[in-house]
Amino acid sequence: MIQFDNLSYRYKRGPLALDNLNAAIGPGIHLLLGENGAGKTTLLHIIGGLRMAIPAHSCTIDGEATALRNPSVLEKTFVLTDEMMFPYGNINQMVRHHAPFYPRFNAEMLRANLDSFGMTGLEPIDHFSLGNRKKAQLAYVLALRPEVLLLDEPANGLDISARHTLLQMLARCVGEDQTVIISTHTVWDFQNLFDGVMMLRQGQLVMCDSLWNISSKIAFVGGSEPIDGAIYMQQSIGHYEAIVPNPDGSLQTNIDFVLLYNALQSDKASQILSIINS
Amino acid sequence: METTISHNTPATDRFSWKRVAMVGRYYYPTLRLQIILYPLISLAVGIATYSTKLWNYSALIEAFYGILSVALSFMYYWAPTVFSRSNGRAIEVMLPARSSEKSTFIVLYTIVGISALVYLPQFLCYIAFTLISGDSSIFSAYDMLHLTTGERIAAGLFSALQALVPICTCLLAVFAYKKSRVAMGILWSIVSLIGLALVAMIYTIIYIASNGVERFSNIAIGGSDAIEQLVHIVSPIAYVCGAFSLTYVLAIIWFTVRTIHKTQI
Repeated sequence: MIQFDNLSYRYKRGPLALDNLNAAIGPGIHLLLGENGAGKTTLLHIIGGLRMAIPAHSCTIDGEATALRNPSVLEKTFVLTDEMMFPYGNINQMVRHHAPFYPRFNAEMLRANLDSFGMTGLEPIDHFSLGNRKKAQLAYVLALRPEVLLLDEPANGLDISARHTLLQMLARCVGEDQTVIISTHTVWDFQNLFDGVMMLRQGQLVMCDSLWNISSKIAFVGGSEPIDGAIYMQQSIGHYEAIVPNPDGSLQTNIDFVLLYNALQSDKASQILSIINS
Repeated sequence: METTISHNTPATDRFSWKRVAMVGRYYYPTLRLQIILYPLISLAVGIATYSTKLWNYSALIEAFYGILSVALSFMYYWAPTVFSRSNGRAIEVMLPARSSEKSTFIVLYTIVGISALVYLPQFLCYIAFTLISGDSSIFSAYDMLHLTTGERIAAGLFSALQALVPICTCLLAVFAYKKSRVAMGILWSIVSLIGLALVAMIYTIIYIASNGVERFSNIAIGGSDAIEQLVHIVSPIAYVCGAFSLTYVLAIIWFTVRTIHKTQI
Protein backbone atom coordinates (compact mmCIF):
# COMPACT_ATOMS: atom_id res chain seq x y z
CA MET A 1 0.00 0.00 0.00
CA ILE A 2 1.38 3.37 -1.03
CA GLN A 3 0.37 6.14 1.32
CA PHE A 4 0.71 9.91 0.96
CA ASP A 5 0.29 11.99 4.12
CA ASN A 6 0.46 15.71 3.38
CA LEU A 7 3.10 15.04 0.76
CA SER A 8 4.64 18.17 -0.68
CA TYR A 9 7.79 18.67 -2.71
CA ARG A 10 9.62 21.78 -3.75
CA TYR A 11 12.61 21.80 -6.09
CA LYS A 12 15.73 23.42 -4.71
CA ARG A 13 15.22 27.15 -5.19
CA GLY A 14 12.34 26.27 -7.48
CA PRO A 15 8.59 25.95 -7.66
CA LEU A 16 6.34 23.84 -5.45
CA ALA A 17 5.97 20.70 -7.57
CA LEU A 18 3.56 18.80 -5.32
CA ASP A 19 1.18 20.37 -2.85
CA ASN A 20 -0.26 18.50 0.11
CA LEU A 21 -1.12 15.13 -1.43
CA ASN A 22 -3.14 12.70 0.63
CA ALA A 23 -4.07 9.28 -0.72
CA ALA A 24 -3.79 5.54 -0.26
CA ILE A 25 -3.09 3.37 -3.31
CA GLY A 26 -3.57 -0.35 -3.09
CA PRO A 27 -2.68 -3.20 -5.44
CA GLY A 28 -3.79 -2.90 -9.04
CA ILE A 29 -2.90 -1.01 -12.18
CA HIS A 30 -3.48 2.71 -11.81
CA LEU A 31 -3.45 5.47 -14.39
CA LEU A 32 -1.73 8.71 -13.47
CA LEU A 33 -3.04 11.66 -15.44
CA GLY A 34 -2.03 15.27 -15.44
CA GLU A 35 -1.09 18.12 -17.71
CA ASN A 36 2.53 18.87 -18.58
CA GLY A 37 4.30 20.08 -15.46
CA ALA A 38 1.58 18.80 -13.13
CA GLY A 39 4.10 16.82 -11.10
CA LYS A 40 3.52 13.28 -12.39
CA THR A 41 7.17 12.40 -12.89
CA THR A 42 8.11 14.06 -9.61
CA LEU A 43 5.51 11.96 -7.81
CA LEU A 44 6.81 8.76 -9.40
CA HIS A 45 10.35 9.72 -8.45
CA ILE A 46 9.33 10.27 -4.83
CA ILE A 47 7.52 6.93 -4.60
CA GLY A 48 10.51 5.21 -6.18
CA GLY A 49 13.04 6.84 -3.87
CA LEU A 50 14.73 8.89 -6.58
CA ARG A 51 13.68 12.04 -4.75
CA MET A 52 13.31 12.48 -1.04
CA ALA A 53 9.93 13.48 0.27
CA ILE A 54 9.91 16.07 3.01
CA PRO A 55 9.01 15.22 5.66
CA ALA A 56 10.40 11.75 5.16
CA HIS A 57 7.27 9.90 6.27
CA SER A 58 4.91 11.77 3.96
CA CYS A 59 5.34 9.00 1.38
CA THR A 60 5.38 5.42 2.62
CA ILE A 61 5.18 1.94 1.15
CA ASP A 62 3.70 -0.55 3.62
CA GLY A 63 4.42 1.93 6.39
CA GLU A 64 8.08 2.47 5.50
CA ALA A 65 9.20 5.88 4.34
CA THR A 66 10.58 5.85 0.80
CA ALA A 67 12.84 8.81 1.61
CA LEU A 68 14.88 6.67 4.01
CA ARG A 69 15.85 4.46 1.05
CA ASN A 70 16.08 1.34 3.16
CA PRO A 71 16.94 -1.78 1.13
CA SER A 72 13.68 -3.44 2.21
CA VAL A 73 11.69 -0.65 0.52
CA LEU A 74 13.97 -0.21 -2.49
CA GLU A 75 13.79 -3.89 -3.42
CA LYS A 76 10.01 -3.58 -3.55
CA THR A 77 10.06 -0.58 -5.88
CA PHE A 78 11.22 0.28 -9.37
CA VAL A 79 10.69 3.37 -11.49
CA LEU A 80 11.16 3.09 -15.24
CA THR A 81 11.45 6.69 -16.32
CA ASP A 82 10.85 7.85 -19.84
CA GLU A 83 14.46 8.25 -20.92
CA MET A 84 16.17 5.95 -18.47
CA MET A 85 19.37 4.31 -19.58
CA PHE A 86 20.58 1.02 -18.22
CA PRO A 87 24.19 0.90 -17.03
CA TYR A 88 25.13 -2.22 -18.96
CA GLY A 89 25.43 -3.17 -22.60
CA ASN A 90 22.69 -5.79 -22.67
CA ILE A 91 19.89 -7.31 -20.63
CA ASN A 92 21.92 -10.40 -19.77
CA GLN A 93 24.39 -8.22 -17.89
CA MET A 94 21.49 -6.59 -16.02
CA VAL A 95 20.38 -10.07 -15.00
CA ARG A 96 23.85 -10.94 -13.78
CA HIS A 97 24.71 -7.75 -11.89
CA HIS A 98 21.47 -5.96 -11.06
CA ALA A 99 18.69 -8.56 -10.75
CA PRO A 100 20.23 -10.23 -7.64
CA PHE A 101 19.11 -7.19 -5.65
CA TYR A 102 15.47 -8.02 -6.39
CA PRO A 103 14.37 -11.24 -4.72
CA ARG A 104 11.19 -11.56 -6.81
CA PHE A 105 13.01 -11.51 -10.14
CA ASN A 106 11.69 -14.21 -12.48
CA ALA A 107 14.08 -15.31 -15.20
CA GLU A 108 11.43 -17.39 -16.99
CA MET A 109 9.18 -14.36 -17.18
CA LEU A 110 12.05 -12.32 -18.62
CA ARG A 111 12.69 -14.93 -21.31
CA ALA A 112 9.01 -14.96 -22.24
CA ASN A 113 8.88 -11.16 -22.30
CA LEU A 114 11.95 -10.89 -24.49
CA ASP A 115 10.56 -13.59 -26.81
CA SER A 116 7.38 -11.55 -27.16
CA PHE A 117 9.47 -8.65 -28.42
CA GLY A 118 11.66 -10.87 -30.57
CA MET A 119 14.75 -10.37 -28.43
CA THR A 120 17.28 -12.66 -26.76
CA GLY A 121 18.80 -10.42 -24.10
CA LEU A 122 22.19 -10.28 -25.81
CA GLU A 123 21.34 -7.30 -27.99
CA PRO A 124 23.42 -4.16 -27.35
CA ILE A 125 20.72 -1.91 -25.92
CA ASP A 126 23.09 1.10 -25.92
CA HIS A 127 22.89 1.16 -29.71
CA PHE A 128 19.15 0.57 -29.88
CA SER A 129 16.58 3.03 -31.09
CA LEU A 130 14.35 4.51 -28.40
CA GLY A 131 11.57 2.03 -29.13
CA ASN A 132 13.74 -1.08 -29.07
CA ARG A 133 15.51 0.06 -25.94
CA LYS A 134 12.14 0.62 -24.28
CA LYS A 135 11.04 -2.90 -25.25
CA ALA A 136 14.12 -4.46 -23.65
CA GLN A 137 13.72 -2.32 -20.53
CA LEU A 138 10.03 -3.13 -20.14
CA ALA A 139 10.69 -6.85 -20.60
CA TYR A 140 13.29 -6.64 -17.82
CA VAL A 141 11.47 -4.48 -15.27
CA LEU A 142 8.29 -6.53 -15.53
CA ALA A 143 10.37 -9.62 -14.78
CA LEU A 144 11.83 -7.92 -11.68
CA ARG A 145 8.28 -8.12 -10.30
CA PRO A 146 8.65 -5.36 -7.73
CA GLU A 147 5.63 -4.89 -5.50
CA VAL A 148 5.46 -1.29 -6.66
CA LEU A 149 6.22 -0.68 -10.34
CA LEU A 150 6.13 2.83 -11.68
CA LEU A 151 6.12 3.36 -15.44
CA ASP A 152 6.55 6.83 -16.87
CA GLU A 153 5.29 6.94 -20.48
CA PRO A 154 5.98 3.25 -21.12
CA ALA A 155 4.53 3.30 -24.62
CA ASN A 156 6.67 6.20 -25.74
CA GLY A 157 8.61 5.13 -28.83
CA LEU A 158 6.82 1.80 -29.24
CA ASP A 159 5.30 0.89 -32.57
CA ILE A 160 1.66 -0.23 -32.86
CA SER A 161 2.32 -3.96 -32.51
CA ALA A 162 4.75 -3.41 -29.64
CA ARG A 163 2.10 -1.43 -27.76
CA HIS A 164 -0.31 -4.32 -28.17
CA THR A 165 2.39 -6.73 -27.00
CA LEU A 166 3.06 -4.53 -23.98
CA LEU A 167 -0.63 -4.50 -23.10
CA GLN A 168 -0.69 -8.30 -23.16
CA MET A 169 2.54 -8.44 -21.20
CA LEU A 170 1.18 -6.21 -18.46
CA ALA A 171 -1.95 -8.30 -18.20
CA ARG A 172 0.15 -11.46 -17.99
CA CYS A 173 2.96 -10.31 -15.70
CA VAL A 174 1.34 -8.04 -13.14
CA GLY A 175 0.29 -10.03 -10.12
CA GLU A 176 -2.60 -9.40 -7.78
CA ASP A 177 -0.22 -8.23 -5.06
CA GLN A 178 1.52 -5.68 -7.27
CA THR A 179 0.80 -1.98 -7.52
CA VAL A 180 1.56 -0.54 -10.93
CA ILE A 181 1.23 3.16 -11.64
CA ILE A 182 1.37 4.15 -15.30
CA SER A 183 1.81 7.77 -16.23
CA THR A 184 0.85 8.18 -19.86
CA HIS A 185 -0.74 10.61 -22.23
CA THR A 186 -1.71 7.77 -24.60
CA VAL A 187 -4.34 6.30 -22.27
CA TRP A 188 -6.08 4.34 -25.02
CA ASP A 189 -3.11 1.95 -25.17
CA PHE A 190 -3.92 0.50 -21.77
CA GLN A 191 -7.41 1.58 -20.94
CA ASN A 192 -8.77 -1.92 -20.46
CA LEU A 193 -6.14 -2.65 -17.83
CA PHE A 194 -6.70 0.06 -15.27
CA ASP A 195 -8.20 -0.54 -11.87
CA GLY A 196 -7.87 3.03 -10.65
CA VAL A 197 -7.09 6.54 -11.81
CA MET A 198 -5.19 9.40 -10.23
CA MET A 199 -5.09 12.91 -11.54
CA LEU A 200 -2.71 15.72 -10.73
CA ARG A 201 -3.48 19.31 -11.55
CA GLN A 202 -0.88 21.96 -10.83
CA GLY A 203 0.75 19.82 -8.19
CA GLN A 204 -2.46 18.87 -6.42
CA LEU A 205 -4.07 15.44 -6.39
CA VAL A 206 -7.60 16.16 -7.54
CA MET A 207 -8.60 12.52 -7.94
CA CYS A 208 -7.47 9.16 -6.68
CA ASP A 209 -10.20 6.59 -7.01
CA SER A 210 -11.11 3.18 -8.34
CA LEU A 211 -12.75 2.87 -11.73
CA TRP A 212 -15.53 0.93 -10.10
CA ASN A 213 -16.41 3.84 -7.83
CA ILE A 214 -16.15 6.39 -10.63
CA SER A 215 -18.33 4.43 -13.03
CA SER A 216 -20.92 3.87 -10.29
CA LYS A 217 -21.29 7.66 -9.85
CA ILE A 218 -20.91 9.04 -13.37
CA ALA A 219 -21.44 7.70 -16.87
CA PHE A 220 -19.76 8.48 -20.17
CA VAL A 221 -22.16 8.82 -23.08
CA GLY A 222 -22.01 10.01 -26.65
CA GLY A 223 -24.23 10.84 -29.59
CA SER A 224 -24.79 12.93 -32.64
CA GLU A 225 -26.95 15.39 -30.68
CA PRO A 226 -26.14 17.41 -27.55
CA ILE A 227 -26.83 15.32 -24.47
CA ASP A 228 -29.35 16.53 -21.93
CA GLY A 229 -28.36 16.66 -18.32
CA ALA A 230 -24.65 16.51 -19.08
CA ILE A 231 -22.35 17.81 -16.38
CA TYR A 232 -19.62 18.20 -18.96
CA MET A 233 -19.86 17.93 -22.74
CA GLN A 234 -17.42 18.28 -25.58
CA GLN A 235 -17.90 18.14 -29.32
CA SER A 236 -15.57 16.42 -31.71
CA ILE A 237 -16.19 16.33 -35.49
CA GLY A 238 -19.96 16.32 -35.22
CA HIS A 239 -20.02 13.87 -32.33
CA TYR A 240 -20.93 14.80 -28.77
CA GLU A 241 -19.33 13.20 -25.76
CA ALA A 242 -20.57 13.89 -22.27
CA ILE A 243 -20.33 12.98 -18.63
CA VAL A 244 -23.71 12.51 -16.96
CA PRO A 245 -24.62 11.70 -13.38
CA ASN A 246 -25.24 8.04 -12.64
CA PRO A 247 -26.92 8.31 -9.23
CA ASP A 248 -28.20 4.73 -8.99
CA GLY A 249 -25.30 3.19 -10.89
CA SER A 250 -27.62 1.79 -13.51
CA LEU A 251 -25.68 3.11 -16.46
CA GLN A 252 -22.85 0.67 -17.15
CA THR A 253 -20.35 2.55 -19.28
CA ASN A 254 -16.62 2.29 -19.82
CA ILE A 255 -14.63 5.21 -18.55
CA ASP A 256 -13.49 7.59 -21.25
CA PHE A 257 -10.23 8.77 -19.75
CA VAL A 258 -9.69 11.52 -22.29
CA LEU A 259 -13.15 12.91 -21.61
CA LEU A 260 -12.61 12.59 -17.86
CA TYR A 261 -9.25 14.35 -18.13
CA ASN A 262 -10.70 17.22 -20.14
CA ALA A 263 -13.61 17.51 -17.72
CA LEU A 264 -11.32 17.68 -14.71
CA GLN A 265 -9.32 20.41 -16.43
CA SER A 266 -12.47 22.46 -16.99
CA ASP A 267 -14.55 24.61 -14.67
CA LYS A 268 -16.86 21.60 -14.15
CA ALA A 269 -14.15 19.77 -12.27
CA SER A 270 -15.38 20.55 -8.78
CA GLN A 271 -18.93 19.47 -9.69
CA ILE A 272 -17.73 16.16 -11.09
CA LEU A 273 -15.47 15.53 -8.11
CA SER A 274 -18.24 16.27 -5.64
CA ILE A 275 -20.44 13.67 -7.37
CA ILE A 276 -17.68 11.08 -7.39
CA ASN A 277 -16.81 11.70 -3.75
CA SER A 278 -20.39 11.75 -2.55
CA MET B 1 20.27 -16.54 -20.86
CA GLU B 2 21.26 -16.96 -17.26
CA THR B 3 18.39 -18.63 -15.43
CA THR B 4 19.93 -19.18 -12.04
CA ILE B 5 20.06 -16.00 -10.02
CA SER B 6 21.41 -15.89 -6.52
CA HIS B 7 18.84 -14.11 -4.36
CA ASN B 8 20.63 -14.31 -1.05
CA THR B 9 20.04 -10.65 -0.31
CA PRO B 10 20.30 -10.01 3.42
CA ALA B 11 16.84 -9.89 4.97
CA THR B 12 17.69 -6.85 7.07
CA ASP B 13 18.09 -3.11 6.67
CA ARG B 14 21.19 -3.07 8.87
CA PHE B 15 24.62 -2.57 7.35
CA SER B 16 25.69 -5.73 5.57
CA TRP B 17 29.10 -6.55 4.10
CA LYS B 18 27.34 -9.05 1.86
CA ARG B 19 25.43 -6.16 0.29
CA VAL B 20 28.67 -4.20 0.00
CA ALA B 21 30.01 -7.11 -2.04
CA MET B 22 26.83 -7.07 -4.14
CA VAL B 23 27.35 -3.37 -4.78
CA GLY B 24 30.85 -4.25 -5.92
CA ARG B 25 29.40 -6.84 -8.24
CA TYR B 26 27.02 -4.21 -9.61
CA TYR B 27 29.90 -1.85 -10.39
CA TYR B 28 32.29 -4.55 -11.65
CA PRO B 29 31.49 -4.27 -15.40
CA THR B 30 32.24 -0.55 -15.20
CA LEU B 31 35.46 -1.05 -13.27
CA ARG B 32 36.72 -4.09 -15.12
CA LEU B 33 38.74 -2.25 -17.75
CA GLN B 34 40.39 -0.09 -15.09
CA ILE B 35 41.22 -3.13 -12.96
CA ILE B 36 42.94 -4.74 -15.95
CA LEU B 37 44.64 -1.73 -17.51
CA TYR B 38 45.92 0.19 -14.50
CA PRO B 39 48.27 -2.49 -13.16
CA LEU B 40 49.56 -3.20 -16.67
CA ILE B 41 50.29 0.46 -17.32
CA SER B 42 51.83 0.87 -13.87
CA LEU B 43 54.01 -2.18 -14.42
CA ALA B 44 55.16 -0.94 -17.81
CA VAL B 45 56.00 2.51 -16.42
CA GLY B 46 57.76 0.95 -13.45
CA ILE B 47 59.91 -1.31 -15.61
CA ALA B 48 60.77 1.57 -17.93
CA THR B 49 61.59 3.99 -15.11
CA TYR B 50 63.66 1.64 -13.01
CA SER B 51 65.56 0.28 -15.99
CA THR B 52 66.64 3.80 -17.02
CA LYS B 53 68.15 4.26 -13.56
CA LEU B 54 69.77 0.86 -13.47
CA TRP B 55 71.38 1.00 -16.91
CA ASN B 56 72.07 4.76 -16.97
CA TYR B 57 70.12 5.61 -20.08
CA SER B 58 70.53 9.05 -21.52
CA ALA B 59 69.06 12.02 -19.68
CA LEU B 60 66.57 12.52 -22.49
CA ILE B 61 65.16 9.03 -22.14
CA GLU B 62 65.16 9.39 -18.37
CA ALA B 63 63.17 12.62 -18.73
CA PHE B 64 60.70 10.85 -21.01
CA TYR B 65 60.15 8.13 -18.46
CA GLY B 66 59.85 10.80 -15.81
CA ILE B 67 56.98 12.28 -17.78
CA LEU B 68 55.42 8.82 -17.92
CA SER B 69 55.60 8.65 -14.13
CA VAL B 70 53.82 11.99 -13.88
CA ALA B 71 51.18 10.68 -16.29
CA LEU B 72 50.77 7.65 -14.05
CA SER B 73 50.18 9.96 -11.08
CA PHE B 74 47.42 11.78 -12.91
CA MET B 75 45.95 8.47 -13.98
CA TYR B 76 45.74 7.69 -10.28
CA TYR B 77 44.27 11.06 -9.32
CA TRP B 78 41.56 10.88 -11.98
CA ALA B 79 40.67 7.21 -11.54
CA PRO B 80 37.36 7.97 -9.73
CA THR B 81 35.96 9.45 -12.95
CA VAL B 82 35.12 5.85 -13.79
CA PHE B 83 32.06 6.31 -11.55
CA SER B 84 30.81 9.17 -13.70
CA ARG B 85 28.99 7.19 -16.37
CA SER B 86 25.82 9.08 -17.16
CA ASN B 87 23.88 5.92 -17.91
CA GLY B 88 22.33 4.27 -14.93
CA ARG B 89 22.46 7.03 -12.32
CA ALA B 90 18.79 6.44 -11.52
CA ILE B 91 19.48 2.73 -11.24
CA GLU B 92 22.32 3.45 -8.80
CA VAL B 93 20.10 5.61 -6.59
CA MET B 94 17.35 2.97 -6.59
CA LEU B 95 19.75 0.10 -5.97
CA PRO B 96 18.44 -1.79 -2.94
CA ALA B 97 21.39 -1.16 -0.66
CA ARG B 98 21.99 1.30 2.14
CA SER B 99 23.78 4.45 1.09
CA SER B 100 26.44 3.55 3.67
CA GLU B 101 27.01 0.25 1.86
CA LYS B 102 27.30 1.99 -1.50
CA SER B 103 29.65 4.58 0.02
CA THR B 104 31.77 1.91 1.68
CA PHE B 105 32.42 0.14 -1.56
CA ILE B 106 33.05 3.33 -3.52
CA VAL B 107 35.42 4.84 -0.94
CA LEU B 108 37.28 1.58 -0.29
CA TYR B 109 37.71 0.94 -4.00
CA THR B 110 38.99 4.48 -4.53
CA ILE B 111 41.39 4.66 -1.60
CA VAL B 112 42.53 1.06 -1.25
CA GLY B 113 41.69 -0.55 -4.57
CA ILE B 114 43.00 2.06 -6.95
CA SER B 115 46.07 2.65 -4.77
CA ALA B 116 46.86 -1.03 -4.93
CA LEU B 117 46.26 -1.19 -8.68
CA VAL B 118 48.71 1.65 -9.30
CA TYR B 119 51.34 1.41 -6.58
CA LEU B 120 51.61 -2.31 -5.95
CA PRO B 121 53.15 -2.97 -9.39
CA GLN B 122 55.53 -0.06 -8.78
CA PHE B 123 56.57 -1.56 -5.46
CA LEU B 124 57.07 -4.95 -7.08
CA CYS B 125 59.31 -3.30 -9.69
CA TYR B 126 61.31 -1.65 -6.92
CA ILE B 127 61.82 -5.00 -5.20
CA ALA B 128 62.74 -6.74 -8.44
CA PHE B 129 65.22 -4.13 -9.60
CA THR B 130 66.78 -3.88 -6.14
CA LEU B 131 67.37 -7.60 -6.23
CA ILE B 132 68.82 -7.35 -9.74
CA SER B 133 71.12 -4.44 -8.94
CA GLY B 134 71.90 -5.28 -5.34
CA ASP B 135 71.81 -1.57 -4.48
CA SER B 136 68.50 0.02 -3.53
CA SER B 137 69.92 3.53 -3.22
CA ILE B 138 69.86 3.85 -7.01
CA PHE B 139 66.07 3.76 -6.90
CA SER B 140 65.08 5.23 -3.56
CA ALA B 141 65.84 8.67 -2.24
CA TYR B 142 65.13 7.37 1.22
CA ASP B 143 68.12 5.02 0.96
CA MET B 144 70.29 7.73 -0.51
CA LEU B 145 69.49 10.04 2.40
CA HIS B 146 70.14 7.37 5.01
CA LEU B 147 66.80 7.90 6.71
CA THR B 148 65.91 5.85 9.74
CA THR B 149 63.12 3.29 9.53
CA GLY B 150 60.75 5.54 11.44
CA GLU B 151 61.55 8.46 9.13
CA ARG B 152 60.98 6.28 6.08
CA ILE B 153 57.61 5.11 7.37
CA ALA B 154 56.58 8.67 8.23
CA ALA B 155 57.75 9.96 4.85
CA GLY B 156 55.89 7.18 3.06
CA LEU B 157 52.71 7.82 5.03
CA PHE B 158 52.77 11.54 4.40
CA SER B 159 53.45 10.95 0.74
CA ALA B 160 50.50 8.55 0.55
CA LEU B 161 48.25 11.02 2.39
CA GLN B 162 49.16 13.82 0.03
CA ALA B 163 48.42 11.56 -2.95
CA LEU B 164 44.97 10.91 -1.49
CA VAL B 165 44.07 14.61 -1.59
CA PRO B 166 43.49 14.89 -5.37
CA ILE B 167 41.96 11.44 -5.77
CA CYS B 168 39.42 11.99 -2.99
CA THR B 169 38.65 15.46 -4.35
CA CYS B 170 38.02 13.95 -7.77
CA LEU B 171 35.72 11.35 -6.19
CA LEU B 172 33.63 13.96 -4.39
CA ALA B 173 33.30 16.09 -7.53
CA VAL B 174 32.18 13.09 -9.59
CA PHE B 175 29.33 12.43 -7.17
CA ALA B 176 28.48 16.04 -6.36
CA TYR B 177 27.97 17.26 -9.90
CA LYS B 178 25.11 16.15 -12.14
CA LYS B 179 26.67 17.37 -15.37
CA SER B 180 30.23 17.44 -16.72
CA ARG B 181 31.21 15.05 -13.97
CA VAL B 182 34.47 13.95 -15.58
CA ALA B 183 35.56 17.52 -16.27
CA MET B 184 34.65 18.67 -12.75
CA GLY B 185 36.46 15.72 -11.24
CA ILE B 186 39.62 16.55 -13.16
CA LEU B 187 39.32 20.27 -12.51
CA TRP B 188 38.83 20.00 -8.76
CA SER B 189 41.62 17.48 -8.35
CA ILE B 190 43.98 19.97 -10.01
CA VAL B 191 42.65 22.70 -7.72
CA SER B 192 43.38 20.48 -4.72
CA LEU B 193 46.95 19.92 -5.91
CA ILE B 194 47.39 23.66 -6.23
CA GLY B 195 45.96 24.03 -2.74
CA LEU B 196 48.44 21.53 -1.37
CA ALA B 197 51.30 23.38 -3.02
CA LEU B 198 50.01 26.63 -1.53
CA VAL B 199 50.04 25.09 1.95
CA ALA B 200 53.69 24.11 1.45
CA MET B 201 54.47 27.53 0.04
CA ILE B 202 52.86 29.37 2.94
CA TYR B 203 54.79 27.24 5.43
CA THR B 204 58.05 27.90 3.56
CA ILE B 205 57.43 31.65 3.55
CA ILE B 206 56.71 31.58 7.27
CA TYR B 207 59.87 29.52 7.86
CA ILE B 208 62.06 31.89 5.89
CA ALA B 209 60.48 34.88 7.58
CA SER B 210 61.25 33.32 10.95
CA ASN B 211 64.74 31.93 10.27
CA GLY B 212 66.12 34.02 7.44
CA VAL B 213 67.54 32.81 4.13
CA GLU B 214 71.13 32.34 5.32
CA ARG B 215 70.66 28.63 6.03
CA PHE B 216 69.48 28.07 2.46
CA SER B 217 72.38 30.14 1.11
CA ASN B 218 74.85 27.97 2.98
CA ILE B 219 73.27 24.84 1.55
CA ALA B 220 73.32 26.30 -1.93
CA ILE B 221 77.08 26.72 -1.71
CA GLY B 222 77.30 22.95 -1.56
CA GLY B 223 78.98 20.29 0.45
CA SER B 224 78.78 16.57 1.00
CA ASP B 225 75.88 16.84 3.44
CA ALA B 226 74.05 19.69 1.73
CA ILE B 227 71.13 17.55 0.63
CA GLU B 228 70.69 15.98 4.03
CA GLN B 229 70.76 19.44 5.62
CA LEU B 230 68.12 20.62 3.19
CA VAL B 231 65.95 17.58 3.84
CA HIS B 232 66.07 18.08 7.58
CA ILE B 233 65.21 21.75 7.22
CA VAL B 234 62.21 21.19 4.96
CA SER B 235 61.00 17.91 6.49
CA PRO B 236 58.65 19.76 8.87
CA ILE B 237 56.79 20.81 5.71
CA ALA B 238 56.02 17.14 5.22
CA TYR B 239 54.48 17.00 8.70
CA VAL B 240 52.41 20.12 8.05
CA CYS B 241 51.25 18.91 4.65
CA GLY B 242 50.62 15.46 6.06
CA ALA B 243 48.45 16.78 8.86
CA PHE B 244 46.59 19.04 6.44
CA SER B 245 46.13 16.16 4.01
CA LEU B 246 44.80 13.81 6.69
CA THR B 247 42.26 16.36 7.87
CA TYR B 248 41.29 17.22 4.32
CA VAL B 249 40.90 13.58 3.21
CA LEU B 250 38.74 12.70 6.22
CA ALA B 251 36.51 15.73 5.58
CA ILE B 252 36.22 14.94 1.87
CA ILE B 253 35.29 11.33 2.58
CA TRP B 254 32.59 12.54 4.97
CA PHE B 255 31.21 14.92 2.34
CA THR B 256 31.33 12.16 -0.27
CA VAL B 257 29.34 9.78 1.93
CA ARG B 258 26.82 12.54 2.65
CA THR B 259 26.54 13.39 -1.05
CA ILE B 260 25.89 9.78 -2.00
CA HIS B 261 23.26 9.57 0.74
CA LYS B 262 21.45 12.69 -0.43
CA THR B 263 21.67 12.16 -4.19
CA GLN B 264 18.44 12.94 -5.99
CA ILE B 265 17.70 12.63 -9.68
